[in-house]
Amino acid sequence: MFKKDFTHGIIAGILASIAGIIYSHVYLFANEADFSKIVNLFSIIGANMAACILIAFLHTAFVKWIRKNTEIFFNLTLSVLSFALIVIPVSITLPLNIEFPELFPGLVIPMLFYPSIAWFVINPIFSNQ
Amino acid sequence: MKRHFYAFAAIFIFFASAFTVFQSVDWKIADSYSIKFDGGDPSGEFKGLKGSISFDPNNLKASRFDVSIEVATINTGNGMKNTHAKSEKWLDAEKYPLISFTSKEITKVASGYEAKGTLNMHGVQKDITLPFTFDKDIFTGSISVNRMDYNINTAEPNHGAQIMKVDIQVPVTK
Repeated sequence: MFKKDFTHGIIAGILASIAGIIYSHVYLFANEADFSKIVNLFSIIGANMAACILIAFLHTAFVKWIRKNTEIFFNLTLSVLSFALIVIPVSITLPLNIEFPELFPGLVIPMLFYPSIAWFVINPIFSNQ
Repeated sequence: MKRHFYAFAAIFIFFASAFTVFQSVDWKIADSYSIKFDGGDPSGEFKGLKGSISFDPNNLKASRFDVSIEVATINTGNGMKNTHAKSEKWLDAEKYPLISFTSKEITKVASGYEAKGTLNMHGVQKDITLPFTFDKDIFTGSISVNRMDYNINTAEPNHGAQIMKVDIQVPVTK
């Protein structure tokens, strides 16, 4: 069971990473900001892969423990968790040598939803297997 | 008459030379300065330091600081806190765009120097004493500022720190 979720998570992580890298490049170019010490290629890939693997664990747990309406509860939980994570970039204090901290939430908040979006996008492929 | 002319000229040159001796040394503020404040929460720094620094350790009477920082340059490391700090409720950067310090007297003390002068912040002028050192073309000083003395969000005395420790380090060039 977890093998399917694991594959699902890995592919979702790759897709979320690609989306995150593209978005960060566009955002940083448009705003002429530099958050490369915090948000860079490696941190984006690492965070998205880790998030999607966690989602895979979460899905496996839901399938195992919640027998009825599993997908509904799982999707709801994942969406709520993604929203709740907004508090992190809003409240975080960046090092003082990083300019324009006002632009940081705008960079990170959309990226918080990429793992769950990527998971949902490819979900039909795995749910039909 | 000619003899008197030379005497007056000599006296004039003497006094004019004396004024050149009393002149202090003007310094330019280097870009690598730092003005950091720490109240636990919040803490951060200011940029936008401008003004004139005339300082000669051998001629403190002619030495003078007249400097200011831009309130809008405050950086706490958090965008939301920066916006709040600049708002009308706190520093009101729009109405009071500058925090300035003008010295009246600089004296030598055991630990270095003391600049007595006026700190103008949030529309309130208050006499303060700024202890500092001057070594290798770097001014280093530290003061504590109580925001309540400057009518900054007095309605919420327990919201954030009241007393901020301000550490100033200003490298200068001639």
